[in-house]
Amino acid sequence: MISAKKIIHGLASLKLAVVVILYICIVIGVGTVVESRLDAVAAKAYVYDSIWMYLGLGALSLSLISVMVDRWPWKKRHTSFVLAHIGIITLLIGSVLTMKYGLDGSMMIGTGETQRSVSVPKPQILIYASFGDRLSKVFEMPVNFFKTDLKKQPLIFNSDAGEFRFSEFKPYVIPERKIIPADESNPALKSSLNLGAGVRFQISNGQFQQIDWMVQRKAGLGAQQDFGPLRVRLGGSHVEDGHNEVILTPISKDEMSYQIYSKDQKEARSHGRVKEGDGFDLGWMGLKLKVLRYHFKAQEKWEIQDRESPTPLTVSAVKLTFKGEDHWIILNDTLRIFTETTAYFVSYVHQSIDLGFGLTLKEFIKENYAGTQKAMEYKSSVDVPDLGLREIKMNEPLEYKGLTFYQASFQEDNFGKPIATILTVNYDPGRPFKYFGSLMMFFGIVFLFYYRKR
Amino acid sequence: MKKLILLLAIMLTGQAFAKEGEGLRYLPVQDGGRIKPYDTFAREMLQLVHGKTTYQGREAFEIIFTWMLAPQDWQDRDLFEVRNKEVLKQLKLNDEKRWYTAKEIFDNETFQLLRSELRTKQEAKEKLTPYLQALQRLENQFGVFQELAAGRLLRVAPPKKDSTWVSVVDLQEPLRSAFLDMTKSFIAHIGASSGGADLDLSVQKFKDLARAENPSLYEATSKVDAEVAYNIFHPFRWAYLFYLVSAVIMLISWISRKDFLIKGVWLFTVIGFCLHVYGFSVRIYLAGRPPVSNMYETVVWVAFGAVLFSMILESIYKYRFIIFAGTLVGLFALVIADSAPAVLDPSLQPLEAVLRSNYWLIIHVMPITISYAAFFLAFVLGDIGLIYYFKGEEKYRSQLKAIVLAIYRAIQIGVVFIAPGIVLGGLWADVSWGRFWGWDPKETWALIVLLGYMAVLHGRMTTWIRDFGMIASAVIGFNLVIMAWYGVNFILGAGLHSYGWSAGGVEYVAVFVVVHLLAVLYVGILNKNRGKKLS
Repeated sequence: MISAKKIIHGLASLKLAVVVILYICIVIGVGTVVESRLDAVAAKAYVYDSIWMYLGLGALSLSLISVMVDRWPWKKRHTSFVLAHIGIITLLIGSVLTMKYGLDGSMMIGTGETQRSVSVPKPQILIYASFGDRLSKVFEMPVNFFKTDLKKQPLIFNSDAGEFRFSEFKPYVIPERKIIPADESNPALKSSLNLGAGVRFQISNGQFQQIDWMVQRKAGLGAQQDFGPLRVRLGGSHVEDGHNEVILTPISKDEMSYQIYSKDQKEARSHGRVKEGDGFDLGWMGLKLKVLRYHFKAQEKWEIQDRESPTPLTVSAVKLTFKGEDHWIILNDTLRIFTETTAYFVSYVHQSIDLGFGLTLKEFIKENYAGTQKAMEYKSSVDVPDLGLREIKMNEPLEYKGLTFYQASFQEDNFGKPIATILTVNYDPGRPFKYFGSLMMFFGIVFLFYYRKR
Repeated sequence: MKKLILLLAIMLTGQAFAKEGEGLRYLPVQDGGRIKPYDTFAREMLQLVHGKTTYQGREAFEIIFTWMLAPQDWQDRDLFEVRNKEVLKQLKLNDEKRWYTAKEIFDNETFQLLRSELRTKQEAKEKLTPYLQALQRLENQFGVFQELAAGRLLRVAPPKKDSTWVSVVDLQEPLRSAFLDMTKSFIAHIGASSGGADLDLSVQKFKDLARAENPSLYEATSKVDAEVAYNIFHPFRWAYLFYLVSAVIMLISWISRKDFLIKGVWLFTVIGFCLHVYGFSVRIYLAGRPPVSNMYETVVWVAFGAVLFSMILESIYKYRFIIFAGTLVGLFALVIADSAPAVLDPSLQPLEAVLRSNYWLIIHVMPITISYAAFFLAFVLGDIGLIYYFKGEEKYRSQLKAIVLAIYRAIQIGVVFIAPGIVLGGLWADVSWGRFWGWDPKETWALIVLLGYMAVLHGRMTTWIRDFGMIASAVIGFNLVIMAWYGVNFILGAGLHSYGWSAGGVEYVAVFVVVHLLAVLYVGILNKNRGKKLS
């Protein structure tokens, strides 16, 4: 008969330990290869968060515990290995706690803006339906398309209006937004959520040229493009805030009216009507605005280029089939689908968690090494409820309500001026375990030397 | 022996004294986010454009100045280093030369096409292939030469306000005339129509005027003289020469069986080590931080660690080959550091924002890299062990026992440093990012190194790893260190695509690795067969 003691003794075998250690080495080595070929998200999904990794860590824990039980009662010479092994086990427990109950997200705050929610890198599919002016969530599902093969196992949601079928996932695509005229049969034209207009325009003089699209999210809502001191607006009304402004207002299938405002003037300096292919002078720096395309009712569509590996320009995308039509949804974007009675908003987004309070970015400061564009230091000056103005710097995070806010990154506008800060937000219940474990390991190593010398 | 030391002392110090007409070297300039002597600036620029710090035996500080004075004279000289065969093919140039003229490359119509090709790829933000990297370098070479010739790149005087220094072309009076005087005396000096004293005087005048512009900003130039002395003296080269001499003496002592020579070995190793430490200290002084921020600096640091550990172990065990192995690591690492500036960049660069916390840099990066020194030492000891096994286990039993013990100790030292180093890295990441462990390839490979050697130490307690196993493990295990130290940047960093393999000297490293693996295999089989014959 095999006794428990014998099993433990077997598990405590050094040879098994060597095998387990080497096995873990191979698994995480493969992880670094996956990370370099693809990216950290894929490496996590395929390796570090996979059954192979858990097998290794499980076997390691078992081996570590068994050897400590097997050598019981411990003698003085065991101090080093017992401490080190307890340290490693505590570290592993800490990681499990972090993974299960921790929060590791990021938040972007624009200068002068307040942000209340944290985005967590756990994607989900959300579907909202709008019946008249009521908006309700009809579907919510956390997803990890790296792990489930949609081609074999499509994700399906059955609504009254028909089947939403998510049938393909592409992790690395370069998306391109196409603006097309809404087709006559589009039910949205009749629904209360009327489609807005879209215009592709060119602003140019001899030296400067800019071509851009503007699309209204909804008829009547404004859309705008800023060019420093000049602003171009589609729909909406003039705002006096120190900008020269051009407002294009859709009035019919073929025509828009335009008004040109000078800085801080209430009344339009000039106005008129414009058609696709026509242009008019802005009367400022010799600039001319030309309407290249004009759709009274415009609709967006994503077209994608598939890539094998990621670049900084790729995003992931999932294919939705609804009523026989295919749509690509880009991560962190929302697709609008219309039926006769209802508008659906389908999002493939990272989960967002409400903090219960808001942080306001007063200022973002980037200091460069003298005479270069290389950042020496960047920091955010943030207004925190109860605490007032606080600075968050590299290596100097902010602690508030059990959460830690770290300076991670920032965003610049086209002229290199910082416009938003990106903070990492973290809550880690495993932290005390990790610190204690580290300390134990450290002492284990100290004792290794202490006893060897004798 | 005393005479020898005296001779060496004269040789060493004589080099460090400034010669007449070299005052230009000491001119402070602003470049790459710090104030450096013009001498350093010139070396870096010539390195970038020409791939060497001298041009046909003339020093960088002279060459760079003539680019500015007479760029047209450089049009027909073989100045620009191009090594990528594909780039040369595109430019329709034959690939027999290493250097090409500005005319050959930049007046070539294809060059503009290649530039726009590069730009398209850069905009797509994809990883650059070696071909595109070569194009990028070519564009940098072009840009640097043009900007220097136009006087825009060399920033020689502090501004009245702000922090960006004024370039030659933007100089105002009286600095402008002072600079002109300087160029005149430079030309006179080069043309040998006047001595160097004139030039030095005009440089000094310019420096005084520049200081008057903004005395408080000019304070930043206080370390310039020390840096020039460091450039000229080049302590690491002297250090490896001493290590070389020490290793040679050791070989002689073995062959001639003259035991007293060990004193010479110690003497030269210690002198080399002192020079090594001196060079290191100067870098710390100049950069104001621990010098472990790039590959070059870690190579120098690892060489330092290996020699230090070898001296400590040698003084305990007195096995001779421990210090021998240490000098070999010092020699090998410092020679590599000196001879591959494209991969191991010796310039002092400002730190990334996140690394600017010295405290963390010291307690996290230094222990991890110093552990590589111990593993490196174990590796060379392993090589020596292989040689003894090759010559026959029976004859050298006592030596092999000693080597195995030394290897075991070296691996222990390595583990003792790398384990806390990794944990401290976790603590740093936790404090700075709130993420104790993120499976970043660099940290993951450091962990693999630790686990690999832990497997060796545990295996040593079983029947799996005996004496030969220990020697083989020391040699094979070092491949993990190579991967963590070098491979993460140059093999994984290149995205593991086939085209990534030709960058950063990967082919040489691969040969190094394969030769050692084959040696272990061969000696292993040899040893096994001998064992069979005996039994």
